[in-house]
Amino acid sequence: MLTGQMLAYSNPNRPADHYKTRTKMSFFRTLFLVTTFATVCCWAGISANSLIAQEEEQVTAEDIELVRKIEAARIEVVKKVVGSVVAVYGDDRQGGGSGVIIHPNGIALTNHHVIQGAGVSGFGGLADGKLYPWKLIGTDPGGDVAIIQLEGKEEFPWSKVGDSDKVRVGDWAFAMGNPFLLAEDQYPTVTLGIVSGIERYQGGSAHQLIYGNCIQIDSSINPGNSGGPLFNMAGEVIGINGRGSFRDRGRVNVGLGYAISSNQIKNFIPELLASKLVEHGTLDANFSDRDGKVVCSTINLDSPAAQMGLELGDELIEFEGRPITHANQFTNLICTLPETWPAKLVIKKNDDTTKTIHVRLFGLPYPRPQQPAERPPSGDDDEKPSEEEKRQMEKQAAMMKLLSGDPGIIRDEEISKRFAKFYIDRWKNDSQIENLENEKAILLTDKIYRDEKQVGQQQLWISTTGRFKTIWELDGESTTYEFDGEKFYKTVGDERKTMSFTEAKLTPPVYQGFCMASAHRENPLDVFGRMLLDGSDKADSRIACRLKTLDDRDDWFYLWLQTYDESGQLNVKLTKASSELNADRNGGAVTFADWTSHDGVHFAKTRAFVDGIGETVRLTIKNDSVEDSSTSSDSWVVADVNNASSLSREENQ
Amino acid sequence: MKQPTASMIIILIALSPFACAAQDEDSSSLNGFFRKAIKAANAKTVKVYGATAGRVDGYASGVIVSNDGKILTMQGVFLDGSNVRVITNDGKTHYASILRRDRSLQVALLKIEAETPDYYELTDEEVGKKGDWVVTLSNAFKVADGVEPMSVNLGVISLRTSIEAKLTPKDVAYRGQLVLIDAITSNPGAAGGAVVTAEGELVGLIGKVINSSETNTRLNYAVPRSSLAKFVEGKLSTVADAGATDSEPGDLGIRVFRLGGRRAPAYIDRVVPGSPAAEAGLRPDDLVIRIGGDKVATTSDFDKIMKTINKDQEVIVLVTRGNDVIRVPLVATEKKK
Repeated sequence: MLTGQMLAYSNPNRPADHYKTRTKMSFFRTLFLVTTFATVCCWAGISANSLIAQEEEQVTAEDIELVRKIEAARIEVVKKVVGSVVAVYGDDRQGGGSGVIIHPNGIALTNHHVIQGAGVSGFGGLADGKLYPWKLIGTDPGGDVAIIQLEGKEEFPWSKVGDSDKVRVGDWAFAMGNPFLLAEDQYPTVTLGIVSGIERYQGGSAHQLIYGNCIQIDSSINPGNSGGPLFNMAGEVIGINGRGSFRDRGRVNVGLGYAISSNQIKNFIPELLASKLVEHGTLDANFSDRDGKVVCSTINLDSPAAQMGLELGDELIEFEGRPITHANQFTNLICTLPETWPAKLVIKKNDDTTKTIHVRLFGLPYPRPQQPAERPPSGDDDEKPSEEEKRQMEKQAAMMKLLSGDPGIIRDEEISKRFAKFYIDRWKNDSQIENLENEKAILLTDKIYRDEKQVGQQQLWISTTGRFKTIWELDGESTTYEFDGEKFYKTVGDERKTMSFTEAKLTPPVYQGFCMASAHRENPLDVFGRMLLDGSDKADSRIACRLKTLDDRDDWFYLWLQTYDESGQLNVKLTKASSELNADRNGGAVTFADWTSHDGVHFAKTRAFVDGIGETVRLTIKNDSVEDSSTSSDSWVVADVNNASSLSREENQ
Repeated sequence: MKQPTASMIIILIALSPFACAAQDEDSSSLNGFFRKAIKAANAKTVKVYGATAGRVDGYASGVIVSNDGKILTMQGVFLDGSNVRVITNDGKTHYASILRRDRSLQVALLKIEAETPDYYELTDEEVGKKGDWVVTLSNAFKVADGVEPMSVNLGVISLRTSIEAKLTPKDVAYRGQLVLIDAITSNPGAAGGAVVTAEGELVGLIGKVINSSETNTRLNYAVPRSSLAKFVEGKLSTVADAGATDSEPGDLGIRVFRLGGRRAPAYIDRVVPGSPAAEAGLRPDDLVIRIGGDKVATTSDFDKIMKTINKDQEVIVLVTRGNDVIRVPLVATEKKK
C-alpha cells in the first residue's frame, strides 16, 4: 500500500525525483518489514532485543543509554551553535555561501570567494529566519578569508573560535552552512564527519585562494557550504570550509573537503578588522628537501632575510617556533602568515653554527583584476540600463575598487577606529579595568635589572586619570618624568623642562608609566591622538593586534595588545608599546607582563625595555612593592630624593 | 515491552562499537576512538606511483601484507610502466616489482626490497559485520605527499554481497562477495587503500572505481580480506602469473545472425553442439536480450559483452522465444581459437 502511494510521486521525466522516490520506497519497505517483524516478535512474546542480540553482538541497556547520551550531547552542541551560522547572500539576495558570527557585535567569518561573488554588502540569513544586512570589513584573497559585519541586532548569537592545533586525524567534526541554498527558512544544514587529514596543502593560483596547513574532512562540503564553520564537538569553530576535491563528477562532495584552520584565521583577524585588502607574507626564499635536511634552495639577495644573514644552503631548523623536518612544512606554515608578520627562523650554517633570524615578511602581490569590457555605446540613445542592471554595475564597480586598491593599508578609517575601540574595550573587559569615577593613585617601587643584575630603581606614581610621575634612577643617574594631564616634564638635577609629545613617545621610561596610567581612561592614550587598528602582529612572542595613535601632524605611537593567551583563549591585554614598528632604533620598545591590580588600579608587575622585532631584552623592571597614594601630586614627593623638593617648589611658584 | 523502531535498530547496530569505546575511555576523549586504529593503519599503508596514460591516474594506494615488503594494491595503468614506486609511511621511496596480478579480483601483489615490520596478517576469517564502523585510509586525489599521513574517511559496513547481477563484467569481473561501505572511497588514487575496523583490523582493500553507466553513480566497496588471503597464497582459482595477466576468454556456444548491419538484433543463428548454450536448451531464432546485467539490443552489444566473459564465469542469459522470456544460467567454457 505504502509503496503504491509513493509511486504516484514518480515522474519518469525527472530522473532525480525518480531516484528519490525509489530511495523512499525502499526505506518505507524496510520500515514496514521491520515494524511487522517487531510486531510479530511481540505477539510471539520474544523480546526484540534478544533477537538482535542473537544476530549481532550483545548490546546492553548501558550501551543504549550511552549511545543516547552521546547523541543528546551532539544535538545539544548543534543547538548551541546553530544561531551563529549565517547564510550569506548578496544585495540582490542571490547567493552566496555561508559564514559564522564570532562576536556578539555581528562580525562574521566567511570566504573571500563568497564575498567576491556576493559583493561588498548584502544580507545574512540566520536560524531565526530573518535576514540581516551585512557590510564587508576586510578580505584576504590569498587565504580565502573575509570578515563581514551583520547589523540590526543588539546582540548576535556567536561561536567561539577554537584552537586548530589541537585537532587530530579521526576527530569528529561537523560542518554547518547552506549547501545548495536549501534552507528557505535560513536554518542551516549540519553534516557530520571526521577529520581526514591535518596540515594539508591545497594550492591556488596567482597567490590567491591557497589553503596551507588546512584541515581535510569527510564531513560533506557542497556548493553553498563555502565560508561556513567547521566545528569540533565542543562547538568551537576550528575552521572555515571553503573547498573540496572534485574532478570528473561536478562540484559535489566526494568525501574530501578542506577547511582553513582557525589558527591561520586568528593570525589574520586584526588585519581584516583594520579594513584591509590583506596580502600574504613571503620570505622571498625557498627551501627544499636535500639529504634529509631542509635547505635554502633559492633566495632573493635583496630580501630582508638575506640581509639578516640567510644564505643558499643554510639548513632550516625551526620556523615560527616549530621544528622543521620537511620543506612542505615550511611551505604550509608560511601560507598562514600575513604580510609584515615578524617571522622567526632558526638556521644552521655550513660550519654547524646556528643563527636566529627575525624578519618581517613582505607581501605577495595579487594581479590587478581585469576591468570588465566597456559596454559598446548603444546606437539607440533611449536604451537606458534598467534598475537591475544599474545595481549589478554598481556592485561590480565596488568589488573592482576593493580588489584593485592598494593592499595592506587601512581602507576605511572609521572601521579601523571602531575595531581599535573594540580591542581596547575587550582588554578592559578581560582585565576588569573599570573607568573609575573618582581618581585613584598608587605608588610602585620597582627594581631595574640588566643581565639579572640590579642597576637601578624607580618610584612610579600612577593615577587613573593618566597622570603619572617616575623618579627613575639608572646607573647612578636620577631623572624625574611626569605627565600632569596636559604636558610631559623631565627634571634632571634642578632643571625641569617640558617634553614634547614626540620626545615622550621616544622615551621608554616615560611611556612605560604613561601607558599604565592611561589604562583607566575611557580612551587610553587619547592625548596622543586618534586610535586606529593597524593590523596583526606578534608581541612578546604571541599573536597580537597592533593599534596606532595618530595626531594632527601624523605623528604616531604603537600599542600591541595580545589577542589570545597561551591556552588559545581570546584574552586581550596590553603587552607592548613603542613609537617604532620594529623597535630597532633609539627608542626601542617596552613590554608589559603580569598585569595585576592594587586597590582597583591596574599595573604590569614586570616590564622590559626591548630592542628589535626579536625583542632582545635591554632592561627588566620588576615591581617590588605597591602602596596606596594620595591623588594630589603634591604628595608625590619622596624625602630622600634630592630634586623632589625643588620640583614641589617649582610647582608652588 | 519495548517496540523497537527501524531507526532505533539502525542506531543500535551502527553505534555499538562506539558505545564500547566510550566506556573504555574517558567520554571527553571520544575523539580518541578512531585515532588508534588510524595511527596503526598509517604504518601499514603506502602510496603507489607509476605510469600515467592520458587522463588515467598514475597513482594508487597499497597495504603491506608481510614483513618482507609484500604489498597489495589494485590493478591499474600505473602498474604498466617501467617502474612502480612505493612510498612508505616514513616517507622513503622504494621501487617495487610486480609479483602477481589477478584480472578478476583486479588485485596486484607488489614487493619492495625493505623490511616492513608493520603489516596486516591476512587470514581466511572475515572481519567486520554489517553496521560496524570502518575507517578507510587512502591517498585519494594525491592529497598526501611524501611522509604526510593518508586521508581518512569514516563509514559503516553496509552489506556483504556479490554485485554480479547489477553490473557488467567489464565493470567488475569478480563474482565473489564484496564489502559495501558508505564511506566515499570511489575516488582517484583511493583504490588499494585499507578499510579497517575501529579496533584496527583489516576488513579489506578499497576497490577500483565502479561507475554505473546507467545512473552515473559509484559503488564504494572493499575487496574482502579472505579473498586477498587466497590471492596472496596463490590459491585463487583465476590466479595468473606475471606476464600472463589475462584470464582465458570464455565462450557460451551462441552464434548470432550476421546480416552485415551493426544494428541487427541478436537472434541466435546457431548453437554449438555440446556447448553450455546447447545444454541449457537455447535454440536458433531465440532473441538474446540480456547477458549478465547488460542489455543486448544489437549484435554489436552481443560481441562487446562476449569479449569480457572469461572461462568458468557464470552469467545469466535472457532470451525471448515467441511470447516467453527464458532465463538460463550458463558457465562459459574455453574459447576455441
